[in-house]
Amino acid sequence: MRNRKFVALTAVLSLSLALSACGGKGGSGGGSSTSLTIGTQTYTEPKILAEMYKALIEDRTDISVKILPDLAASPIVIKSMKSNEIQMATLYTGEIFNGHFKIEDTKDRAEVLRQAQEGFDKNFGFHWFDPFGFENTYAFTVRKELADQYNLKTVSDLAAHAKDLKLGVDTSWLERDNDGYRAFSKFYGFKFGDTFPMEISLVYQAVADKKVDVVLAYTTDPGIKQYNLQTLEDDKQFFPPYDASAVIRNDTLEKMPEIGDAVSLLVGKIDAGTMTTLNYEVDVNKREPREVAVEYLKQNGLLK
Amino acid sequence: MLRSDWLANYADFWRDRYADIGTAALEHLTISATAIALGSLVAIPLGMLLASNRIRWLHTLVFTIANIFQTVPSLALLAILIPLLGIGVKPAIFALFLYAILPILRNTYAGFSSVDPALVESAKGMGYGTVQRLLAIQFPLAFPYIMSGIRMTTVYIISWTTLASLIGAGGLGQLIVSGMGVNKEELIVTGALAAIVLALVADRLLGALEKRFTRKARTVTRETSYV
Amino acid sequence: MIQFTEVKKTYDDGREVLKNINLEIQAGEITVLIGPSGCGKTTTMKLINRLISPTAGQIRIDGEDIAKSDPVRLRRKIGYVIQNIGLFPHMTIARNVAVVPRLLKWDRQATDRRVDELLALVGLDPAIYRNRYPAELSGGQQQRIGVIRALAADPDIILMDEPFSALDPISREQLQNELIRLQQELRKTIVFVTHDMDEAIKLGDTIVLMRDGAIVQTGKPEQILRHPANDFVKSFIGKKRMAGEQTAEELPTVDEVMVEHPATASPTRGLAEAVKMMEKRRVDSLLIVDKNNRLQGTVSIYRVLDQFGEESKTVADVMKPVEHVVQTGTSLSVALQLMSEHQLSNLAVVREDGQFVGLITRGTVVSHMAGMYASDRTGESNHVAV
Repeated sequence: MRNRKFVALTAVLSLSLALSACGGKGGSGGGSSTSLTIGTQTYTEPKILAEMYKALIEDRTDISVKILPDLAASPIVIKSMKSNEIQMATLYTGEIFNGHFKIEDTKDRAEVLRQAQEGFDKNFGFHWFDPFGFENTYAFTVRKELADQYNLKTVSDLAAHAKDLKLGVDTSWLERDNDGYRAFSKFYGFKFGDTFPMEISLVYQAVADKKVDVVLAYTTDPGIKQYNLQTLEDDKQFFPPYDASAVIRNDTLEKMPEIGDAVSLLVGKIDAGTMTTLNYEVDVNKREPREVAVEYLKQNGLLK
Repeated sequence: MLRSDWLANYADFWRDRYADIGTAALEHLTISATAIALGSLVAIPLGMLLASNRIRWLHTLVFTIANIFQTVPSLALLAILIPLLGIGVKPAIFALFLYAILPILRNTYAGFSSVDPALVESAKGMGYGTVQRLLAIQFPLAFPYIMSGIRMTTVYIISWTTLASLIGAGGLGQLIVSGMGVNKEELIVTGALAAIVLALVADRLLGALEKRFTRKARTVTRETSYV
Repeated sequence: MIQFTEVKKTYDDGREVLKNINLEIQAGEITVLIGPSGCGKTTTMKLINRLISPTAGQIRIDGEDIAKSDPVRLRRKIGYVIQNIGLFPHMTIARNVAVVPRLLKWDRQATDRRVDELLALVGLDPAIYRNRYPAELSGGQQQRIGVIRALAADPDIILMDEPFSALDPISREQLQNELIRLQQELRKTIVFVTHDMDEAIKLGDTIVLMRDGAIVQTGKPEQILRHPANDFVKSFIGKKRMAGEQTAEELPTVDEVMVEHPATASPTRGLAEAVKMMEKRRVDSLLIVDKNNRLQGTVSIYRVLDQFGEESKTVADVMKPVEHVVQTGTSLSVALQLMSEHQLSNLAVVREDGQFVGLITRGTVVSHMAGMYASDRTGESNHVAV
């Protein structure tokens, strides 16, 4: 299903161009007082979370919720929110490094959160909720047997072997400024023999088939568990925090404050292990995000 | 003010990244061209073969397979190809090659079927062997169809080659996709524009090629003289 | 010589297109296969170059069973001309004509020479036509190329499948004449398929008449015309000939029968003048025509003499109006019917715009009928002589 993204690449592209063309003053229209559209990225995690928001909001209010899935990347999610095509989404604090506004460079978790909350409020008019309690950041992972063979525990341990290793990464990491490949190799002082920017789901396939040796994974991705990958500790603390939060337009929240009450129920309630398990249910066990989301809410007494 | 800022930044971007852009464009072109060349090599003879016989089940079989190739989602196809061809350029070319087969096959078949049966019989009756007839009579007459199939396929394969970025083969798709991921419009715009330019140039070149080869036979019914 | 022995052809669906063909096609002759569509004439022809293979029976060319020959090599030795001309649109005229020589790998100069020679043979200037494409030629020119293409490698046998049927009548006749001329020089064995009896009579040394997959009659044109084997042959000949000739000879129009300059007078003539004119032309009546050549009336000698004493009277005063006229182009049978119905001794013919053009009298009808019967008899003997 995810490949739809690339078939519709041109469409997305023109959408993003159109959005940037009319940018600046924010959107108008859409989002009547009784309906809400939640946008999601292409991968599973925001889709499960969106189903949770939807279930909670529809359970506790009269607002009807629509989900708009498969927005190609988080900057596009933000643009769609800005133009009011969607009013709500899931974002990660590290998003501030994507150059939406000026920031002070830091890797402190609380400080990054503060900048995200203040910056998006001031520059975009978004309310950034407090985090759910899990991070979905980057982590270097290797196949178990490779970890054993070279005795790899930390990212620094890779330095000695990196030039013989092939690295599989998602399609945009090589282009990232603050926490991308260039910054990384400067920071840790080594480069990999070859890098393959790929669709992230294919990266796991490739590592399982030994086409790549090292995978830059997302920490809550079930692929780590599924393909029995060993996570290497970011010993020099290169990657910034990526705490997940619900984000909503301020004006939507003012009109429908009951949304805030509903979504706040999730704040601090989901840790990384839980989120990974939920992702695993969908990605590996092929269950519906909606089913998994509702099941979780019921188990935790948030839904009857 | 804002616009000239943007243009200045965009010029800077080109200065910094022209080598990367060139590499991406070259990768893109190589992948597309190889896929189309392979697709033509397989689809044209196959189309000729089908057009020269009436074995019903064979037609059904070939077109069904080609259709299936066409409908397999690219990500699923690439996932299947990893164990066989690994990652990088090879699986990307192979996937695009599969996508290129059907439209070229269809046009070749249509081209051959469009040849007046009276001409075919005339050729046969004068002593053309089957292969000679295919190459000397039917192929030149079907050529405009085949060529338009290749042109059409080229344009859309060039746009589909953005899927190469899914499997580590780079290309202009890499600029577009990563540009979307990191909020850098200059990457998106550059990748898209370059892909459009490639498609247009390729289309023009093939068009000129087609004209060169078919100009003569097309000077029809201009002047008609009477006995 | 081409010999068919007990040849049968049945299609996969069980349709029997050739029942039992026994036929000898003489060398150096034009043999015409003719019959209504679906009679098997084209199938018979295509058996010769193995475009179709027989279900049973044997076909021999100069004694050799063609089933044992390589079909491709066989076809290169047999010229082939098809109805839709079949020139290859992507090849120049020269390349089209050179098709078989090239297949036979003639050397280039010999091929070029042959092409020029053949173009000249049918009156097309090689310098002009060699490098043209078929689409730049008229239908008649294209079929000339079709014919010389079949002659290119100088085959002994030429098959022609309704080659002229798509042409306009004038081009068709020209090409038929050219074929006759060429054949006088070349003496090829030509198998010619047509459904047009006139063409068959004109071109054929031998005519093979077919129906429902069987041969009904074979013979010289004269034999077939004089001694049709059965009613089918009779009707096939008759029908064809009627279509071509009957309107001209047996249903003439008034135009062909009328007298074009009968005795006329203008309305202002005196009665004495009228009598003088009748004496001179030896007629008993005059047609009165005004200066615009429109018919005003008719006067008979009796009416003139009746009023002759009145010196001031003109013919206009004594004439009778004309009650019956026919227009040009009217069938003679209509005119005759009118005359007998109204007891008319003559009938004026006028053009559509009323202008008087001529007169039919009983005398002219009789002399026309006499001429027609005489010419019909000589016409038939002409056909026999072809």
